[in-house]
Amino acid sequence: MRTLYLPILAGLTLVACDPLIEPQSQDAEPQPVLVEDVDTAQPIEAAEPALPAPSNVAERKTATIDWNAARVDFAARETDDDGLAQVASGGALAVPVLLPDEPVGVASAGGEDALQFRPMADGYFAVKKGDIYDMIINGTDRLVARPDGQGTAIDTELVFEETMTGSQVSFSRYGASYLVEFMCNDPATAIKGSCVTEAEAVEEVEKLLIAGTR
Amino acid sequence: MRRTQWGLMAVSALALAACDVVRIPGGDHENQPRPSIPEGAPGPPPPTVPVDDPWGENEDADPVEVPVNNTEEPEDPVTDPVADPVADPDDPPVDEIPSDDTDPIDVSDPIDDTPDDVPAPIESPPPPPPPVKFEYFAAGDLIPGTGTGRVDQIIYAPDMVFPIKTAPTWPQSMVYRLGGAVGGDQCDPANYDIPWRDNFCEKRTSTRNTPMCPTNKVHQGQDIRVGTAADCNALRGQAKADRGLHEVVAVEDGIIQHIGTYSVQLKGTDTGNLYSYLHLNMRRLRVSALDTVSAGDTIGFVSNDFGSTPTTFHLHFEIKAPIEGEGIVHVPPYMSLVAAYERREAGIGEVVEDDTVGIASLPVIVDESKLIE
Repeated sequence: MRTLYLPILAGLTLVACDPLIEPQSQDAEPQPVLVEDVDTAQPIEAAEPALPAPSNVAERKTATIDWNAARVDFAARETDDDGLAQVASGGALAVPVLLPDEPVGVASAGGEDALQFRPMADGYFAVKKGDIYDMIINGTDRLVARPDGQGTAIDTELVFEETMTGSQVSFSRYGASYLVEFMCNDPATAIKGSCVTEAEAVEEVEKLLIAGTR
Repeated sequence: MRRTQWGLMAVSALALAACDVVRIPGGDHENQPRPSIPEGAPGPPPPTVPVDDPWGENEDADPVEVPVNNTEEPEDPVTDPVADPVADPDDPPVDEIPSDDTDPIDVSDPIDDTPDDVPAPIESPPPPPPPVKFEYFAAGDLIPGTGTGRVDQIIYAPDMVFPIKTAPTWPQSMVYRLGGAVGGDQCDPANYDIPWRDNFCEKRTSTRNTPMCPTNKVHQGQDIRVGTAADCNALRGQAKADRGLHEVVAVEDGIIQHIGTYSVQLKGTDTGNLYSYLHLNMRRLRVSALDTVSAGDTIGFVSNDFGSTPTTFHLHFEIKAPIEGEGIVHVPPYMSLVAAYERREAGIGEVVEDDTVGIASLPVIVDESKLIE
């Protein structure tokens, strides 16, 4: 009978036993967890809505300028205006500079010159103040490429158009693009674009001289 | 009989071997080390501190001590170059990995030693789709009977800032909407909260042309109504010199090239584009000729200045760009405006296909002698 004490004691001890071995879940195996996950337990912030990048952006390129032709014209021009000639030495020009044959000053806010010139990274512009209209001349080497484009046109015809503020003449020369605008000062004529006729506008453009080149 | 007793003892001893804790009456069981397993949990909890042997493969390892009330931040495993909490037991020891170069193996980087069967870290969810902020008719889809539009999706000013600083805007025809040549009041609520509408190439009586339009005698820009019907009435109540509720801003870095009697022209530095703003309150301009401006700088306020000719409260906006083979010409501003407005509003525009909204299908019986811009 005494020999039963030991098995009985062992049985009682088993009753008090806390099984730490958890039953295996049938649903999921215990997964190892990345320490990263534990350590970087930060709330995931919602991402900002992202606008899709437009795919229909105009393709731009820089025009190839025919500097040789510009230099030939520059050497052949006839002017006695020293002020006009100074533009030629005004640093690296992006395009050949076409200006009226008049004294020119550097454009600045509050400037008083009748013809003000401002070089830009893509070219230049100049403003000539007048009684009937102000004339704005823009030259640029930027180009919006066209899918059917044949390359930069060296010379194009002068194209006259009326505008909401007067009229304009656009053309290409030496590979650069130019626009000469006539901004009518009298609102009544500006709306109708009648402060300058097409013939007058074209004549003004044809009188422009090359004032600067490389 | 003795054999049976020995058998019972053997079974009891084996059962005890599987027993981790033995409750003893009066013992302090609650503070005994044990894993904190919530009820119903499918498996053991993740370690809250780096452990040398997370899966208990190393029988010689010391037991992991887990505090009962673990309120401290877990130690950064990266700061412990020795511990390799996710080392695959099948991987060779670090010092046995052959190396051809002289760079020491960075054992502090737990990512390098991630076992193959470890799930990938949780990635940030993809960004939600941008909200729809406005509706617009397609480029070139003019009000029927008002001309032939140019179907052109090209954005000629890709990075431009929208020309109106903050107010809601309703690009649309000024001539062929209420308050224009079709009659009605410009401040009619029907002119507001409607889909945008292209009016580049809209027909005009003046001989204004551009090679970008299919026909001649056209509108060379885009008209933009701004604000609300109440704003429109408020503007009407203001003295002419004071008019202005909605700021007009520079769309690109550049120079104010010219200020006319009812126009401001900006020369863009980067693109070479020219931008014309018409009908601002010319007495409240914030810029002078030849000022240098940055994109977003205020130029002035939306009004209706047009010399002695009446017009509605709106901004007439033009882009002139150097086009290959054409020179510097008026180009359609519509899609550039759509893209700029999407950026301003951090949302997208949605194309409207049927023409049933608002009064967009007004009868187009227009006395062209009364056409205004």
